[in-house]
Amino acid sequence: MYYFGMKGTNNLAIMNVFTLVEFAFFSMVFRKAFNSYILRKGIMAALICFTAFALFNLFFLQGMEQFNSWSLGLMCLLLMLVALLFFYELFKEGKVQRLERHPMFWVASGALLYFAGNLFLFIFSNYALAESSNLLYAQWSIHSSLNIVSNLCYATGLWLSQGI
Amino acid sequence: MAESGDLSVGLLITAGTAGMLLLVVFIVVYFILYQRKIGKQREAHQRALLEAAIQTQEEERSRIAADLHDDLQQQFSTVRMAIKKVAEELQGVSPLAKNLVEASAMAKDAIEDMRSISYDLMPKVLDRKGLAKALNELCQRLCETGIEAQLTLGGEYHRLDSGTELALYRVVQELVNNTLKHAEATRISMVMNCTPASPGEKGSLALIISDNGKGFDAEAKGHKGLGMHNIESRLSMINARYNFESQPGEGTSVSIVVETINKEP
Repeated sequence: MYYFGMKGTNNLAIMNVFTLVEFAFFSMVFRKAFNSYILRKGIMAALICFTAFALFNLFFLQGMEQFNSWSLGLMCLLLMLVALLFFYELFKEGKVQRLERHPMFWVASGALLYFAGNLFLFIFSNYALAESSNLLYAQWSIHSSLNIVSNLCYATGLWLSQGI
Repeated sequence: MAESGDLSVGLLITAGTAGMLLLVVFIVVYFILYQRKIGKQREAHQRALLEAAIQTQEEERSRIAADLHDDLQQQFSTVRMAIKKVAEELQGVSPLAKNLVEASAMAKDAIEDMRSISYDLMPKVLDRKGLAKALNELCQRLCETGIEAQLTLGGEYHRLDSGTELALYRVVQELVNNTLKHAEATRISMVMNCTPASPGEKGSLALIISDNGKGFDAEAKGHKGLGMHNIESRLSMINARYNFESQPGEGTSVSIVVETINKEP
């Protein structure tokens, strides 16, 4: 991405494909964490539907060389829902005594923070770009900060999972 | 015109992002606090169950001890006296007299056993004279079995509430049983140090039970026996802090500290 960016070539195609990979990755992580059969099946259904929509969007709607804001927005909404459902399941089962020692709690919190915090940016990115690139830079710096915080959360989750 | 559009999209993204972040923080914090509340409720429930189980156990022990002491023991004493009387009358008259003397001796042993079981189940001295006397008596009984046992009292001992005294006595009893069963110890030492409660301030009671047995690796994570679970349950019930210190070949030392409130006179 950096290489194409430096060459001045449109590199959004990589970003759009990455969206598909990112959603598939998070879906699989949460699918493994859920105990409910229905929720696991639901995640698989969401993954299939999202992939179909994102591919359709990539080839026929917003295209390869435009920021796929609809796919990203949908991904944010779906992953926020999945993270909240994970919290709800954890809440309902009531087995976890110390949340801060539960690896998936950190992963779900990081995901919720990142996808909820960037939802508006992803949806309105194309409008912001059309208005002013300065504005977009400012907004994307928030994205970078949230990215750092969420990655720290994932790292904590991974670190805690060593003891399991 | 461009500036106004610029501002409105920027404002929308910023406000939306801030709103979503606030929402996420609220959800996560609410979730953590609610989970803690549920955890505390569950802990309180488990504690209540444990207390009820221990109380039922103690009541049952007390009932069995009373039945053994007041009923069976008296009946055995009557039977023994009757056998003894018949044996005396048959002395020199019938060879059965010797058997009756033996039967009388067996009845005496049975009475002694019953007294001992009854004492272990519910020592009356604990209720009447308190923990210090009960531990002292426990040491005397250990000495009778050939174990060198002694109680050292420090500070000023005041009676504690019956639940705390009974829990501490049971813990010491369990620890002594463990020592006798597994440690191959020849010496058991009990040190009790009391700081009495004063107005507006709680007192404390520190108890150290140590032996010169073969010890064990206290750091090793192994399967805890039922006895150890009982000890931990009883200590957690009275909010006591405790510490096990042991190394293979170096004996075992258990220290217990509990906050105390003096018993109402």
